[in-house]
Amino acid sequence: MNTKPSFGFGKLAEIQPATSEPAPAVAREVDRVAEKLGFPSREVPTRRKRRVAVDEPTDQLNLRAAIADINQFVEWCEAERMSYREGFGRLVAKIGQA
Amino acid sequence: MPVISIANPKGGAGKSTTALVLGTTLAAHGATVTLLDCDPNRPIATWAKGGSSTTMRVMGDVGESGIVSAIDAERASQQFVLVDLEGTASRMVSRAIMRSDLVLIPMQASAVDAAQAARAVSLVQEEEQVVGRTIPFRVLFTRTSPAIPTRNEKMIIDELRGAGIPVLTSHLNERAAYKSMFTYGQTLAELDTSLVNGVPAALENAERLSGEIIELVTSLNRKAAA
Repeated sequence: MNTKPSFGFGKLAEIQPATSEPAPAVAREVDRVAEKLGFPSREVPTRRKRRVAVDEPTDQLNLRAAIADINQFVEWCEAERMSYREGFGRLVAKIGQA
Repeated sequence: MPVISIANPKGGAGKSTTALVLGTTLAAHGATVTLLDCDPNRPIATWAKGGSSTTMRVMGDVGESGIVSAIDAERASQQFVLVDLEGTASRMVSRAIMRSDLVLIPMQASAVDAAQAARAVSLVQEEEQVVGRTIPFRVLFTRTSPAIPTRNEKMIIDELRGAGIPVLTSHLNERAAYKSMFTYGQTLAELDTSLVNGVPAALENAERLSGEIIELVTSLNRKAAA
């Protein structure tokens, strides 16, 4: 590749990296102006997925139960910071155990 | 230091080709260059997988929220930071322009491109008001014939000049070699001249354009320092 002086590559050394001045506090204002001119945000906010994915088939179970039992169950789930599904699973796991 | 954003909300105006040609030419002359590929189709990041031996650094995972910090980090270590923006009118485009020392607006000599380029110019001018500094910009004609300017081209150039819109003297001509850079994942100098036509002419065109950009950037720097 040739470096003809007429192309201006001799001045390349004058151009050096530089830390930039701190970002202006007007970023919000720039976004507002851009929006007005039809340059809106195109980034779709992505919601965080739940921590524990359900990796087995699930279905619903509606049951009529004694309020006292329901309350005890709900309190236990809250204390253990688990979902009703997990709580129910734990109870089921006890079936057949002494 | 200079952050050069390449913007036109219209797709196919020649943004990625301009960015790639400019970045690889500057790198071939020993300049340290980072190219931020902000096009969601990631054309330059894909190009970089072709195994070119260029020293140009390509970053492909930049989004709206990370664009400003990415630009600031790169400008501290590189001589040139090029930002290839998406062909959409978006907040990312506006944020990149806010942090730019020069905005290149590539366009073909067509009314459709001109209308979209005008939007980019309006955005730059509005942002100047907000940030309280001049954001220099230049229109760059792309895909023009190296031989004779078309009537359309002459008419549009005259109109831009008449409206006080600065236009680069060099154009990015229509050259098969530019498309071949993407086909083979190589720089112009790496292309096999037995497979690709017109490589020397494309190289000459790339050198002329890059030379004009260097001239422009150094004169803008001097103006800023004065």
